[in-house]
Amino acid sequence: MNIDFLLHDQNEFFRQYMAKHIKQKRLSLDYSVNDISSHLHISAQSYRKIESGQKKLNAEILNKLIDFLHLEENDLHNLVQISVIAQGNSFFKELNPNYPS
Amino acid sequence: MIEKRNHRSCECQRLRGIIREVGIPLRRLTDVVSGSPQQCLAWWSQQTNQIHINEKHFHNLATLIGISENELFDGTYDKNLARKRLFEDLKTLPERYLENQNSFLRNSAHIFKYMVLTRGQFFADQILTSMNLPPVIYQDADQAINLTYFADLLEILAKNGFSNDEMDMLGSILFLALQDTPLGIQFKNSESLFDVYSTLAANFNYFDTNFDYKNEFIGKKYILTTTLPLEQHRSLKRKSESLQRLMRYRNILLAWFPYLAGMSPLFPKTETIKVKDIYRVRYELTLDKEVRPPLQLLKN
Repeated sequence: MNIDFLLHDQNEFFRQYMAKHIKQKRLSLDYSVNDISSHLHISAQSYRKIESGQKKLNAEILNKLIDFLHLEENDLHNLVQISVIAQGNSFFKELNPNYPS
Repeated sequence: MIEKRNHRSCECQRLRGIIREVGIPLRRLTDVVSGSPQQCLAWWSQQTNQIHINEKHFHNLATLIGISENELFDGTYDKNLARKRLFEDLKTLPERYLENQNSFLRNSAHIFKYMVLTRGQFFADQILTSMNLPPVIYQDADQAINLTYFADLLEILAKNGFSNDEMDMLGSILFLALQDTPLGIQFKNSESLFDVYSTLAANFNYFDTNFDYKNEFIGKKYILTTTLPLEQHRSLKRKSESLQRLMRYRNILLAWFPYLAGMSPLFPKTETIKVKDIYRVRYELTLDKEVRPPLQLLKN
């Protein structure tokens, strides 16, 4: 899978949505935080930062996550679009007088 | 999900009771009581206590017939619906969603996909089951359903951890379900905001016929007036909070159609008039207005 589209601009909206997706995938596969952090060769604390959207993903970690959690390309494209929209709503909520109050 | 279980014997007794009430054939016990057919039959005839009944077994039963675990345990569930699901058609709708079926499940398919992406399949299935709908219901997205379903779905998500911002997201992500459909492609091929809203104006029936839609294109303005006769939606009439939530969702939905054509959203000016049993909303959009910034991921 070409992951360039995920690595470009990991802003807070993208990180939050990616974090939600990774967490639900981990839980659905019944992996603990320790299971997955061991697989990624990072500390549990560092992994928790990924799952709470505080840490950006590099190519190595991302590829391992895709493999370990069976992340699907179409889902990841959708997450990118969702995060763009979340960012849009945040912007318009602040600045557009027609955004519903 | 189940709050009133005090001890195991109570759970065991209640599970037996539901199996009898619904008439689950013994050959299907293995779907509910995990174990070999012999173990399940031994449990049923009380020859063994090797199987300890717990929440998982109620979850199995709830999933099997698409009925809320709480309602099953409390005995408040619709027994006819449970039997229809078991013996006739698993996709039978509850009575609550059968009246005035003027919309389609497909119009909420994006919400279901969003739930799965962000909360997982189990959460999404639990939400449906708690609404007395089987998890497989979205396999037939063209299933007609009423407006109450949409209001209920939004309400249950608001009660299950969706923030206000996330509730707004649900009206913004129609692309998840629509983008690859013939209508989605028609939207995608739009070259202007006028094209986008002309396509919408010509296709309201694809979405629903609960509302009376009046479209006017005057100069660069698109004025849409939607009228909902509330006497046909009694449960919404009684729950103004649900109705408000639904209307906000629709407002945001209307704004995000341009995204299907790669354009920024266009939030309408709205005016709401509620007179007796009529709920009318006038949306006004200016179609030449440029909206900034263009939608692309911004760097921190």
